[in-house]
Amino acid sequence: MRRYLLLRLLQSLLTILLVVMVVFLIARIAGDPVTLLVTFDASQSDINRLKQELGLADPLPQQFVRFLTDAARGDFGISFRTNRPAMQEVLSRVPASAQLAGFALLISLAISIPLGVLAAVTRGSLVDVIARFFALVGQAAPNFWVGLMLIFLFSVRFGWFPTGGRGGLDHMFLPALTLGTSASASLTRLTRSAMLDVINSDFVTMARAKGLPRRTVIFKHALRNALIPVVTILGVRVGVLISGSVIVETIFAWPGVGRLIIQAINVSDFPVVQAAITLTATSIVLANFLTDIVYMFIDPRIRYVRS
Amino acid sequence: MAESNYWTRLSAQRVSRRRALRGAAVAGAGIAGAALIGCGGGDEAPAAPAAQQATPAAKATAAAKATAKPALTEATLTSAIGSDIGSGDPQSLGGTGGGNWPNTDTHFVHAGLLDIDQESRKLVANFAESWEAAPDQLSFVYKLRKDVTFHNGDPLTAEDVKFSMDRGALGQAAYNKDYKGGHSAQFASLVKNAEVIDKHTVKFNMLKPDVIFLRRGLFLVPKAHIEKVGDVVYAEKPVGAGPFKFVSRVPDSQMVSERYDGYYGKPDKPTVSGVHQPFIKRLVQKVIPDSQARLAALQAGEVDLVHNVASDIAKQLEKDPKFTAFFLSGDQPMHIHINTALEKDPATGQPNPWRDKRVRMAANLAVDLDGIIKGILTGKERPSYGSSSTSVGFPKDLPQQRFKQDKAEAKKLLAAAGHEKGFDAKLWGPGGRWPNSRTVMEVVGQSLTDIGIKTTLQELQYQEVTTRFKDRSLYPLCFWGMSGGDDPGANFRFGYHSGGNYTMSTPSKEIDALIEKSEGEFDPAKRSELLGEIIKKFYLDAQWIFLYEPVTVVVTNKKWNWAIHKKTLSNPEYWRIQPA
Repeated sequence: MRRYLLLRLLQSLLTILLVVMVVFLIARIAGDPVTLLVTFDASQSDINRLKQELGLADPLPQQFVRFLTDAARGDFGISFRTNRPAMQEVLSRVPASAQLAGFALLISLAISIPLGVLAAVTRGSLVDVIARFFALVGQAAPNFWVGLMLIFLFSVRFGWFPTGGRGGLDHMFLPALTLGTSASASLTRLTRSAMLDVINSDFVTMARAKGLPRRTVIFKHALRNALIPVVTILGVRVGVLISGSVIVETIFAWPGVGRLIIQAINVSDFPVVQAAITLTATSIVLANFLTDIVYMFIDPRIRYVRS
Repeated sequence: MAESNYWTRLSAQRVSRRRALRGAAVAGAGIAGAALIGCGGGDEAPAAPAAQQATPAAKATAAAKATAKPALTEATLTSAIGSDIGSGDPQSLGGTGGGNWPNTDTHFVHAGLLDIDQESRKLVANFAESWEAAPDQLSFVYKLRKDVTFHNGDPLTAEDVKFSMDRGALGQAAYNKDYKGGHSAQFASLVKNAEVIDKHTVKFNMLKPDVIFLRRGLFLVPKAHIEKVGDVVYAEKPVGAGPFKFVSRVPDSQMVSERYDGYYGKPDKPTVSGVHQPFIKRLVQKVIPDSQARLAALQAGEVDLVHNVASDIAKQLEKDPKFTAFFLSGDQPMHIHINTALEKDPATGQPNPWRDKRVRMAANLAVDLDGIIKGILTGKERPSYGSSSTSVGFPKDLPQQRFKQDKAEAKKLLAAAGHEKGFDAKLWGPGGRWPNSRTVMEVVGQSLTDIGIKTTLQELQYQEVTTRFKDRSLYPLCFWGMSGGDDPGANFRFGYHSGGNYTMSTPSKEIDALIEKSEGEFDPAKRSELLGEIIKKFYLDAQWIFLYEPVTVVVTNKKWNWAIHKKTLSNPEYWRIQPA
């Protein structure tokens, strides 16, 4: 068990390192940030001087080693755009993204679990058809379209919610609903199919034969077992949501990590891109790692053995 | 392009709850189509140029208001802008120091020694009431006004000007060696040092003469305040001497500023260039990156003014009695850059056909510029004649010699150049950098294909384009825009001259020589003549495929009146907007 966890931890670190290395290289292949930092009439010697100042004149391997050494100390450099420490810049956006992600997850769970269970236990009924239709539409509808439609209806037409920006619960509702809808669509499908598998299994038939109440059979015996794949997907989604949703954050002017990453990419702000991607990769890898651990608590039958 | 888009059609409808629910029910079926239509909104406009045309209704209102006595009000104006500044410090890389990063705040909170008169385009006094250049152009002496104060109450002195030059332009901040001034790369090779002569007199000593030095912006910052609070605090809470004083900022969310009552320009006695204390008390600038979301905020009544409205929506809103659309004409003319620097096509090894003037002429004659302006853009754009905006001044007879679409003539020219069967070409471009750029590129590409130049499109990141411009590796065509600023000659060295950083053209030796001559000509009249000659020769030599001067659209609701004053600006003149 301990050996397995150690191995998974090493795998996770290696994954993060690879991601960071790829981002480091791609960011530099995409263009020279100094061309964006100077005015058009800057001479080549002026440009070279600025490159020296920013540490961009050194060979790539040297820049990478310096980056890794500094990053290990938590120093991701200074943002070219804001002149503030890059990681500080990223961390300042995490609360906004985490808040939105948390609310979106709540919405998606509140919709998907009951709807998935209901669809499975009433298979073939109108409720099932509606649930499947919702899952299909929710997955097919792009976030930007759903977001704009929600703004149009609830902000412009009815005036119930603000069009965007970060503020109270009213500001958060529409972006969270947009994110939550797409997440709940896939979770509804997954819950439904997992429930269908479980309610047709022998132990559920046995529970029914014992005369247990329907509610107990569904929620205590079937749902608990059906949740295993749901938890897997949920783990991945948490990581993705925390790293921010670029589209939703842009449409709703939500100042989260996703929007910061796009801004930084647009102006080749390497330090911020690298800090943000490192944080994002870490959060996704960590979410996966934790999911593996949570498995053992959900289903005591799951144990890790050396193959 | 259609007159209306999905968003405006929807917005024009009255939607009852029943209708909304019915709409939601059929939404699934329409998702694919709607998604495609929705994609059209992706083109984000950059912070853009110059001002000018308002709708007739706006002009009438403006004229009426102009006769009324101007008054300071307690009003708050809320505007929606597309992007935030990186830093409140105008001298840092993320303030105005970063050449291409958007700057939405510093034009109002900070200001400089001189300004540009909007009518004559001449330099006029601002914080410096007079200035004098040495005969050899190696030094400039400025006399400062005595009634200018920073927003913290400190008077502007020569020490502040020297500090601003040292810190922002020369990258020499004695109190903080790590400070990186954004202008350091531009000024360091021009200015030797700044010298305090007395409390209100300062002198800049130059390393070499620079014909446009006085037009280069230097925002003034308070020495004592920055030394006291440090760069980090200053970037978060800037103190300037402009008409608006900074109040608060939440990065990427909103910025609040207020009228500075101590500003020396008053509504009844403005500065020489016409700037005065704002009529409004408070300005709230909300950052809303998506153009359709910005429009929704205006329609929902959350904001009063929206910047950078997409052209198709602007056409629709122009007719809407609830709003006033302002079309700000630009100083960043768009063109298709032609690579004539390479002797051979790098892919085939064949001689570069674009070095033949007849091919370049044919390409210019292939494009239906009027169709692009009226069909794709707002219809208010002006044809471009090079890298200088027509609002900045250029040869008056040039428009009569404009290239107009003539495909038959274009094909004849191609045949005469030995390309009856045509040839292949790639059109590069920095994606959504400019409004409607992708669509314009497609139309230009199709026009060239129609006359036999089979054109394929290739989009790149903006910074990759700028990098590849330098090594002249974008072959043979690139969709590009270049801002000329307030001086038509400011960009000839880097944009026209065959040795420039941002040109892949190889104009004649005569044009190169004229550019070099203009850089040493300090007599304004003679210089103006030279610049006109350069523009004309460059255009008539068809060095580029010349397109248009873009416009930026600003829309307000009817609660506000804005009598546009400036000819060139990158943001609405918030100081000039007043309640209707």
